[in-house]
Amino acid sequence: MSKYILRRVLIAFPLILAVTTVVFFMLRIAVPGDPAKLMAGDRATPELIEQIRKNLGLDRPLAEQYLIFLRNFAQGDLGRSVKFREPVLGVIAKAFPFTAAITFLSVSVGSAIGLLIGIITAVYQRTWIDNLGIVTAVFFYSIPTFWLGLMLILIFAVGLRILPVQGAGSWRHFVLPVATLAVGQSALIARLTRSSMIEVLSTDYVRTARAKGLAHRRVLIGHALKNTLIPVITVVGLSVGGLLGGAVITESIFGLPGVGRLAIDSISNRDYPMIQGTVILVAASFVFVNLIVDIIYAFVDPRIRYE
Amino acid sequence: MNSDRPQGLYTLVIMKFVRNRVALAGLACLLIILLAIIFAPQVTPYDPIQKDTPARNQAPSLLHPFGTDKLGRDIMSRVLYGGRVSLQVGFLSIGLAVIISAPLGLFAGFFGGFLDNVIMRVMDLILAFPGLILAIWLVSLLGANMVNVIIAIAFFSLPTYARLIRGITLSIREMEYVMAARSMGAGSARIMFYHILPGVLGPMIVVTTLGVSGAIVAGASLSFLGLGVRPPTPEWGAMLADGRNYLRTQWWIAVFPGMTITLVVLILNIIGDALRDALDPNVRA
Amino acid sequence: MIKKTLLIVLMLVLVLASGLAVAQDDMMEGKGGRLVVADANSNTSLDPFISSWHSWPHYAIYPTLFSRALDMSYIGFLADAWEVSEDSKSLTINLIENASFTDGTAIDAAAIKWNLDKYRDPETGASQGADLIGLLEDVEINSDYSFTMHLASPYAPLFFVLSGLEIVSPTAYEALGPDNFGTSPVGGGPFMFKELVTDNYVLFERNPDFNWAPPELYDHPGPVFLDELQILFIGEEQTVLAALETGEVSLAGIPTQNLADAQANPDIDVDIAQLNQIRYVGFNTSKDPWTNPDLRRAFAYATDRQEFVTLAWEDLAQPLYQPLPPTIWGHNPELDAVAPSYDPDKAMAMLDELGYVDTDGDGLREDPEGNAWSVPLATASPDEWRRQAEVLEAQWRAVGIPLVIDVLEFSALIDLTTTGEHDLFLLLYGYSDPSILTYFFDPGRKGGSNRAWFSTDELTDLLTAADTQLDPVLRYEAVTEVSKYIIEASPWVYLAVPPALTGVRAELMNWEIHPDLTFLYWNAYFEVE
Repeated sequence: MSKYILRRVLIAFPLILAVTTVVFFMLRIAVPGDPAKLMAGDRATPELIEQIRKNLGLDRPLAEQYLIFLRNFAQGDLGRSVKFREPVLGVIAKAFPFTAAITFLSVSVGSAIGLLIGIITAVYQRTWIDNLGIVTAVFFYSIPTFWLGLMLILIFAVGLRILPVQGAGSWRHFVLPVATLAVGQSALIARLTRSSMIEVLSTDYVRTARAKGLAHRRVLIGHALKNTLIPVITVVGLSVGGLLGGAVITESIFGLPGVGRLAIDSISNRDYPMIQGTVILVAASFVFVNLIVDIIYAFVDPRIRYE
Repeated sequence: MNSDRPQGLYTLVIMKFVRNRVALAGLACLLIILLAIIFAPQVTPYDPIQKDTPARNQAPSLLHPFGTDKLGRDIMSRVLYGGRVSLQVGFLSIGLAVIISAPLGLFAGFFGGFLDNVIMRVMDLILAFPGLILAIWLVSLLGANMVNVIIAIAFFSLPTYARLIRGITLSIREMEYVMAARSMGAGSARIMFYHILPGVLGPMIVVTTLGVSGAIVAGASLSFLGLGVRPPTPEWGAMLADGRNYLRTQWWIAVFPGMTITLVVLILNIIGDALRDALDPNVRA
Repeated sequence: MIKKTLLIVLMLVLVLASGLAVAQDDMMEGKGGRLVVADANSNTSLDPFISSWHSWPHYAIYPTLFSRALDMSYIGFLADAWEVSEDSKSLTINLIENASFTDGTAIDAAAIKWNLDKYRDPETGASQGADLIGLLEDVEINSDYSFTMHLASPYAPLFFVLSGLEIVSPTAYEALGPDNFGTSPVGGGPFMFKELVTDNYVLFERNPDFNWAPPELYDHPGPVFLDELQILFIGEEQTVLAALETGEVSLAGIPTQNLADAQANPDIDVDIAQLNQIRYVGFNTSKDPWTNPDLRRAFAYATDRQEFVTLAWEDLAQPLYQPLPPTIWGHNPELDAVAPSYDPDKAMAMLDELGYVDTDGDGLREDPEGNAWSVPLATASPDEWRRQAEVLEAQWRAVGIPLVIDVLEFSALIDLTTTGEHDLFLLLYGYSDPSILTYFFDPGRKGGSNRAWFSTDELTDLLTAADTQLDPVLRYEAVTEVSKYIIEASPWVYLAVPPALTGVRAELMNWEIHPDLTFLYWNAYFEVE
């Protein structure tokens, strides 16, 4: 197992390097837009644009720029933001905890609620409880994040005045963003758990276990739930990864200074080093989360082996 | 015996499905929506694109059941016409993603080892890649049209389905009945097709039916980057997103396209569930 | 005896001084608080040599040589007295002598020279200093607090430019360098830097030493009453509105559609004005068929601006028929009469004459060769822009113009206009001086800010005449000639002047909005215990 983990971690480096390299060249060659043109503003002469490119080091040959990037990257230096001249690492280090916090909280709260609802609806399959569960879950799942966020703001912040609209100063600032993300998460997990659970409940060995006279609850927890978890864990893992890189809408709506917003803003500004930094962070998070998911597979279902 | 088994199976599946009243009602609803979308010009008298200045910003009324938007266009017309684009984007992109990712996930999970590693690391690469940059690049390269939207959404959905299918395959592979089949000399293809695929189907139906609504909404984000249908062509996702700033003042602009998406997804889920139950030999009709 | 007298004098002085201090305290008594401003546009570097515009955070921490009075005339800020030479090519400025940077160094002639030299150095690459490059030849120090600027030619917008150039502490800049100055900036404005969270907010605190506010604008010289000023960078307009309603934010823009709500809210005061901004459609006049001015004019005749502002801004914007809005000095209302206004019949007749006729009867015109015609319009992606493009599409389709809307992400749009490969584009500009037109129609700025790729020798001469004419009456006439020429040539279709809707919490006292739309917070305060 530890050998497997080590190998996966070693594979992670080329992966991250591959992603950042593709992004590096795509931004400079294929993607239209140029930070110097944006920074030159409405008084831009071609000479001014050229000078800004020079000051940013963008006039050098691509290969040279790439080598400089690699050299700095190897030393743990992600360069300075083009727009703010601030070290990228520092800006990202300040933003990451917010994104990590809302991701972790919303996925855990959402998955826990989702699992519970999923199990209940599976056990009470084809009753009114089940039907209500499906309709509610689908309803919440298909509410777009920005609606839900805005509605929560209007109800809890503007109407009831019990929670703040925006910002990140205290735990109270995190309630609404986490709730916004957790709702969709719980709906997805509930549906998935229900389906997976029904599948497992109807398999021979659960029937056998029941026939052998094992108590209903023991069967549920011991046998059924364990096998239900595999697809659920996969999706939870994917949503952690997705949220880490993409809680953009939630972060914008609640004015949270997270990585998602930073990534979007840096892409619109063509702030190359900052884009590169967020890409590396997101890629690393994906790799890390996927690794954890694969390890959890093995724990939940010891029959899954990793050679 | 062996030769008429498939026919018997299908008859059984259809019979089980037909007996599910809720699913039948859902199917009927879906058909009605599809017909309304196909025959939109006959259903609604209003042009979905032509502006009508005096009629702008009207709340829902008998004349305009869903109200009118900022340019005075009838929102019901736009929802109906918009369905043509949105449903195609939703279904085709997810369909494409599933068709490509299903074999990838199955092979990765079933065979493991090197193949698994290669497939899943490529999926990691896609997952880790910033979609926004890729989308901006695609626009500059290919321009805006629906096919590109479908390709882009399918591309980014690949890893989700591949990982999910792989995970389930991993766990089913080790189950007793699969072991039994294998010890009885069943080939890999047979095991994959007859034993693993059915097990994968249930969770997949759930995730794909929810994925369709995700794809419709993702179509809206892409249309903001220019990779989507051009305005003024109506599209559900874009209508929804454009309406977000008017939720407090002209709520109907976003609520009706939003409700339509919810309704379609709900129906798809009900049908999906019924289908799953019908396919499951353990569930009695 | 002498000692005693001295003692008495000393005591008197002390008493007087403490009395003055009390008076000062009285004025500040019960006033303070933190002003929180939501502004999506100010998120830029705090280093003025890197940032491309003069924004909220900048005018809080940096002083400028000049400022503008409420009647828009130029008044001294750091400048105490000034004189323009007879040939209009040098400007001698005497500085006020009591001003200092917040690092304690004096704001003297040497400091100003350092700043001006840095702005005019092409290697700095400062967008804000772009005007001075090649124009400002030398800065000569006459004495500690007096210097003379020598120009290559007379330059009418000089005072405008100098009222926008932020003055930083040379000592601090030299010590920190361009890499670090932006994160710990040192100026000499009413506020000083306290904290920056990049991409989130910037926080300033009162500069206690500041007492050089221009008397024409403020009833007391400073320091400001507010304890702190925080600028939040939030883009979501509905979030900002909600935060204004709860009081988390005290000052913010109001979305057009929520104006009625905000006005009905007793906690919010609303100020309505017009922006010093315009929206326009530009043609790439270097690319066929847009080289033909008659074709461009036909588009202008096909555009119903009145309906445009109704549909795009609920009638809160103003229709526009010339390159300068009424909010920029130099706008001449008489020109509207000679400018193309909505006349669909004329538009159709012109298109017919140019050979763009509908040959297949689908209601849309074909090109002169009889092939399918399509007119690409590039626009930015926010829904407001898309809606404006949709209005144009509908209006132009009515006369048979087959417009195709290309929605682009903003950076890609700006990039496209510098290539010369584009066709039509929907954009905006915002400025406070008519010299902006030089940036848009300068032959040397094609591939830069001349996005219409439009210039003629005649126009260049007219622009130069306007920019070098210092006499206001004559300059106004010269600017009118420029506008008239541009209207005639029609490289743009002028659309509208958008509204500026500002919401301010009712608890904030004594604020004012300058005609140039800057928010005058220097006298503003919250009542505190």
